[in-house]
Amino acid sequence: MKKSIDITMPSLGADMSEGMLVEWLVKVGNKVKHGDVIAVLETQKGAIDMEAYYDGIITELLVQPVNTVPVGSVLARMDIEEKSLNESKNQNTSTENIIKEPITTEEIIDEKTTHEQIKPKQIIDEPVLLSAAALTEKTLIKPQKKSTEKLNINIKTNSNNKTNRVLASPIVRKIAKAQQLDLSRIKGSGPNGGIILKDIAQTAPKTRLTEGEPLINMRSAISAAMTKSKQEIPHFYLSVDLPINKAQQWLQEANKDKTPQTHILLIALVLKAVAISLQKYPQLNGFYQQGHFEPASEINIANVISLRSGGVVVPALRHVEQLLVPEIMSALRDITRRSRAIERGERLRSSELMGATITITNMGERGVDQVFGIIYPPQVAIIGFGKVKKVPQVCDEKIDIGEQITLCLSADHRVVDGMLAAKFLNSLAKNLQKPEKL
Amino acid sequence: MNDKLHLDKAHLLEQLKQMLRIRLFEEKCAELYAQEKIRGFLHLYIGEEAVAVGVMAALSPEDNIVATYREHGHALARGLSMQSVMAEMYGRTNGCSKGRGGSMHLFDKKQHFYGGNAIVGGGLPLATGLAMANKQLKKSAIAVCFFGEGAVAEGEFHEAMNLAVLWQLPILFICENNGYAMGTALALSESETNIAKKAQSYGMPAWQVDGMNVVNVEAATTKAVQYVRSHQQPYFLECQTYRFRGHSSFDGQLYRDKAEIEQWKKHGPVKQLKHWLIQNHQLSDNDFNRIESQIKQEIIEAINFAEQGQWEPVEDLCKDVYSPATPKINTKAEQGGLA
Amino acid sequence: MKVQTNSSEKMTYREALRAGIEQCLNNDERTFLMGEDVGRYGGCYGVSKGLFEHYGAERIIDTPLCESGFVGVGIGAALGGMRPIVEVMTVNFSLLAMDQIVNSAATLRHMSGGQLNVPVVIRMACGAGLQLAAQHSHSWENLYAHIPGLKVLSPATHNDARYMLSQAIQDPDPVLIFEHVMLLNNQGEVFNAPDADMEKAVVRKQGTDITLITYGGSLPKVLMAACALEALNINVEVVDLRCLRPLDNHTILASVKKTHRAIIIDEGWKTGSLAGEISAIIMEQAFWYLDAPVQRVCTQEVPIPYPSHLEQAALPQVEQIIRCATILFAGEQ
Repeated sequence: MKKSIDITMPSLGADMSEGMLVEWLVKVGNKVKHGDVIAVLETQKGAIDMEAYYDGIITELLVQPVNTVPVGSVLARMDIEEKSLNESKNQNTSTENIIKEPITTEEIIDEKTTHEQIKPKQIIDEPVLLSAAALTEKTLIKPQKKSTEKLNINIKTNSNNKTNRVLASPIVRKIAKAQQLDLSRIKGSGPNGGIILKDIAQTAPKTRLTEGEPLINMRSAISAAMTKSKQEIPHFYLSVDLPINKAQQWLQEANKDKTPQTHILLIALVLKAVAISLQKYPQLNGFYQQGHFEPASEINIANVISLRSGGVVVPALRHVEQLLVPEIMSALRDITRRSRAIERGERLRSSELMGATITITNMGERGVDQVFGIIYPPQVAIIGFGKVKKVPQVCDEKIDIGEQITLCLSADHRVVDGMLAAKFLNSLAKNLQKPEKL
Repeated sequence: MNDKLHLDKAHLLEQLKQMLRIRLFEEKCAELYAQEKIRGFLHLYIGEEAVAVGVMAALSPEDNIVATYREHGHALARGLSMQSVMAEMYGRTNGCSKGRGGSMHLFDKKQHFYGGNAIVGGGLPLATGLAMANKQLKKSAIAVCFFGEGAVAEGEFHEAMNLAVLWQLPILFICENNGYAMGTALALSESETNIAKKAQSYGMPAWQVDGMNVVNVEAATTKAVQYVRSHQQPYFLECQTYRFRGHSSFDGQLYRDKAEIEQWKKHGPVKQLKHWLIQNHQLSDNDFNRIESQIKQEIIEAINFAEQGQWEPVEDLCKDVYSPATPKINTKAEQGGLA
Repeated sequence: MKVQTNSSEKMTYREALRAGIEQCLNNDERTFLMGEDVGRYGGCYGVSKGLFEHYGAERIIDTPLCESGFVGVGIGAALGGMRPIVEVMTVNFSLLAMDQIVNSAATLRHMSGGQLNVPVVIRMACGAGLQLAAQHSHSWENLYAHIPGLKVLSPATHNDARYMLSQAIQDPDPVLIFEHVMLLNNQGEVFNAPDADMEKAVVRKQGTDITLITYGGSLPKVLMAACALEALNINVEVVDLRCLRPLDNHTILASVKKTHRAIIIDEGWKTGSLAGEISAIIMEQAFWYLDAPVQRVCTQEVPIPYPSHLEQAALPQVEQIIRCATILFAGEQ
């Protein structure tokens, strides 16, 4: 029984996609045996003999030399014996499937350009633009005029946008998005004027002041002031590790008979100690404006209070030098409660938001050891204190375990010099060793 | 014929069958490659069958075998099923290397068949190491390393020769000298073309064998294997053979004369043995045809097996880079996306 | 993993390595050490001193100078059931063996469809600083960390020098261990258990302002820089990578997400460095946490020169790290 099978252009190598038929060595009607050479093919490596795989008779020669055809194309047909059928069955059906449409190089380029065309919205940064231009020149084999023009248009559009674009670090953008901050209103202190984290250190929740001013404006103003602060005020920093064993002991004693809601916390002692030391060193308590320093008559210590929404408010406790420690504590509690309840309609007084002569920032609850704050102009100093730590302490030639906090002072070098700052910190440290006297 | 070898009709018929199996399998692979069923590179063993068949017959099942990228014949002669080899060439999961290796990387742990190596000379240190392990672990198995004469130019050949003798390792080196390293004739690449002599200079016994005569090959190997096992020292056989096809599928063979090929074909291993058997009334044409049909049937079944094999799912792409005990790296979860 | 106690023993990095090798030899009779001059010479850097006398020629094997050959043999031996520790004298000579490492060790498991595994450990001395000039000062951890199928370790501490080898030898896949030459003489503490799992990075110093990421011989420099930066009120977190392939992305990213800034210190040349890889990972997976671009401090694009002042100028230094960090905090440029 006879069956007709295809003789196809063979694949002779991993990278061969087409071959050239150079010569037929058989004619229609010739009998051939498995292994007989029936044609000559030309490839990049030279001439190759094409063999017959089966015994049979050539019935048709479909392609004439000299002709280049894709691998898998049918070149001729032959009739073979039935018994070879089983083998050929599977192969023939799949051979037919192999025949593909020829892919020209132009189509390949088109695919490439469409794939690599960058949509206008995505081109944000200059560096990306540069690489887009580089793409046009270097990677496209035949630059399509159309697509080049498109890219040019994109470039033009973006150079227009350039002046409007705000530079900000990724994390700033993330926070700005979450808190709906208008970055165009914030001055950046990062490279190329970019906005970095510390520039938005106080972020604005959407709330209102007693006086009816939207808090958001106040916050933006303070943000602006902060950036200005870091840019204009020559900050310098000192820190001291403060043993607080005596203070803690005093607190324990004092709180023995108090309810938890009225407990005195370390911060109250610190505030009082600060106030007393400031009386001794008034150069840290006041305002630097119009090129000169004016010491303040009151000691109004502002406290940085963080809000649940993620922002901070910095209300001041007024006349701390006149208050007793328990009074300081309750005032602090009150102002903190009201600050944190702002979103629920509580109010802070404008007198509390303005008029601070110095600021203290307590990051101890956040687990931070030290914090060097940025001075709030027109103040000239800010004191930071970190978490209570258990450390080995030398006491009378012995080593004991005690508690300490790290107090950090940031001061305006135009008004305060290192010596003065150090003396202030020392005084503060000393005061805290005698809590009963505060 | 060698006296150490028990030559009987059954054994010789078996050898003929083994060689014919390889021959017909390779020829079919050439056809399948032309139809793009098999892709990549294809290095055919046609003409060299006597070496693989002769050597394998003298080995034990526990012996370790390292071969080259021209290893289909070695795999079949060793005992890898034709189905698993064909499926591997097709790249399907029912292939001996689960489809991951292809023509040049046939592996079978159970048969102690360690590939399937595409780097010329790369298998020599590997086989030497397997021999070292056998020695240290006091196994009776020996290591057998197949390589072409082209590997002799590589530094690794000399390093392996030296280490094998220096450390007295139980390894049998089989150099299949088919005269051409791809397109470079031996005389154009070696100052000293007597390869056995080179091996001797390292201090191991080395002999040249007529690689077209399967009986000679088996005889020489039997003697060699006995030596390696009893002395626990290396031995070298240079089997002189010839490949009737090009280096790989895409070879115009511009580097050699067609007349030379025809000359060698006259002394082809299958032809030789078939002729001898018929002449000595051990085989009839009918017998031969029957054997041939059986093999062709086996090949058809192997192709069906391969055609029905699965393609490995793309999700399993990064499988088997590391052993299962360790966590996979570069899983989809770790690629891309904001953490 | 055993829990570390506080009790420790002081020894040199070299001694820690040696103790690690001894532990492996004692624990598994399939283990042996092979390499150039590891036996009678006592090891080029003295790491295996005394081992030959104690364990004998069968387990401490001096090889001829044939890197491709003996590394291939080590791989074959591992294939065949042994647990070899192959020592390539320095990474500088490893190029000769790269074919075996990449085309055999790294690929055998995959090519065989998962049938085979290669439990070989290859140790190499690496790094610059001894005025050994261009051919003897390479840091090529990145070349090997590039290859799927390999694992790459870099013990920077004495404790890691002590224990990473034992961890590596239990791994069923090929593991490369890089030992920086400038660490060998340093004294340090060795505890009773490893610092962490083999593939984990460790935070050597906690901080909040910036993450310094490094490995191997650069760790001491980074810790020094961290100290100096503390005095400048920059609170540094130091991440010791320990394992370079696979990278412990989790630890790296957790740190950078916390501090928002990162510098990677890598003794390889900057181009195509491992630092570039880590920078890309941070960019891909922690972009929205960054407050500044990720920086790299690497070796200058020059083969390592011989004279000391030039060699030091080429390598990453403490001052560079400090400068790089302070610039990130300086604001407008």
